[in-house]
Amino acid sequence: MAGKFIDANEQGFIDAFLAKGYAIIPLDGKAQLDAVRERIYALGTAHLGLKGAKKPSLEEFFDNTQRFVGVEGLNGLRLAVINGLNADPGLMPGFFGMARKFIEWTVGNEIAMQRGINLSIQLPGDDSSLLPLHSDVWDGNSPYEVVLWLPLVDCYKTKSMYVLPRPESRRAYGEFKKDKSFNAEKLFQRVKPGLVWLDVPYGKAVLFSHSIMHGNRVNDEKTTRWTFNIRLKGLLTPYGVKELGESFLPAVVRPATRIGFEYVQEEKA
Amino acid sequence: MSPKKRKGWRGYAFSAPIGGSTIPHRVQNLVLRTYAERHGLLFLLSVFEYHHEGSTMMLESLYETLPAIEGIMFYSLNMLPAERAVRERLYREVLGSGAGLRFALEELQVLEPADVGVIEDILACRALSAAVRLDALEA
Repeated sequence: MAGKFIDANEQGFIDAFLAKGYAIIPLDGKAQLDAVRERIYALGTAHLGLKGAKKPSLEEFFDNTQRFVGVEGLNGLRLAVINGLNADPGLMPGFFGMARKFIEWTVGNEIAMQRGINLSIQLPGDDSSLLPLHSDVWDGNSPYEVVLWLPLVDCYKTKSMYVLPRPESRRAYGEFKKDKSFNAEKLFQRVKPGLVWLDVPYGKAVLFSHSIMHGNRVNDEKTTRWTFNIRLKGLLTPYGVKELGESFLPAVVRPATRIGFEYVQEEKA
Repeated sequence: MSPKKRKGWRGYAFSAPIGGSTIPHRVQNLVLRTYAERHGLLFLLSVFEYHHEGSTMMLESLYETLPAIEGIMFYSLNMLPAERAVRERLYREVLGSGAGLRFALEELQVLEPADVGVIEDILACRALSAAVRLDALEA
C-alpha cells in the first residue's frame, strides 16, 4: 500500500528498536514516579524499623541501602515493599502511563501486562542476586514479550544491566545452539566485547525484547541498585509459559476486538 | 430469624484434561488447599467433574448448595464451561445466590458482576491468541 502510515519520529524509534532490540526511553509523569519512590521509602524504612534519629533521608536510603540491611534481610525487604505496592490498584496503570507511547510503538495498542510488579535490589558487592547472561525465551517465555526495566536510582556501569544488541544476540544464539559445551560464563566471555552496559538515569527506563541476551554482574559501584521490571506484550500475540490470566492480564482491549469475538461466538451458538 | 451463615468454599476439580494436560487430583487439591490457606478461606472437600468432554453435571449439581456456602473454588479458569450461555448461567446462579467464584491457579475471582468482564476478556483473548500457537510457528 502506498503512503506513509507512521510518522518519521515513530518510524525512527521502530527502526532503531528492530536494529538493536532495546531502547532507552524518557518516562512521562515524573511526579508519579517520585510518589512511588516515596512510598517505597515509607514501606522500606517501616519494615526495617528505621525511625526517629535512625531514619535516613530518602536519597541515603536508596543509595546506601547496604547500611540498613544485609544480604540475608534483602528478600524480606523486597517482599514487604512489593506487597505494600501491589495493594495499590493504580500502580500498574501508573507505570503503563509513564511509558505508554513507547509501549504502543513497540508492541501495539491492544496490550497485556504482567499482573504484579517485580522489584530487584542489588547491594554493592552482592553476588547473591545475579542474573547470568540469558534470554528469557530460553526458559519458555514468549518471544513476543518486551520488558520495561525501570530504575529508581541512577544506573550506570556495573550498577546497571547489560544487553547484547539484536544482531550479535542472534549470531551468538546460533553458535550457542550448536555447541553443547557452552555454559553461561563461557557464553558471557565469548560475547563480552559486544555487550552494552546501559546508562539509565532516574526518570528514564529501558524497553527491550527479552529475546536478546541480557543480564547483570556484581554491582561494583558504591551505591545500591533499585529497579522494577514489568512484562508487556501484544494482547493477541502467542503466549509462552506465562499465560494470560495467570501471569498477564488484559490492560487494553479495543471495542472492535470485543464486538468481533462476540459476533463469532453468537454465530457459533 | 437470622439468615443461616454461609460456610466455606467448595473445591471443584477435573478428571478430564485441563488446558490440554491431565492434572492429578492430588495436585489440583494441593493448589486449591494452598490458595485457600493463603487467603484465609475455609476449603470444603472438592467435587470432581465427570470425565465426559464438556460435562458440567457436577458443577450444576452444586447450584442448589450455593445458599449454604461462600462459593465455588475452581482449580483453574480453564475449567469454565466452553459455551458462553452455560457460563452466563453459572455467573447468574452464583452471584444471584450471593456466592462467588474463585480460580486458584490464576488467583482470580468473580465476587461481583463487574468481575465477569475481566474473566470473559481473558477467555476471549486466550481463544484469539491461541489461534497462533508458538509451537505451530517452529520451522
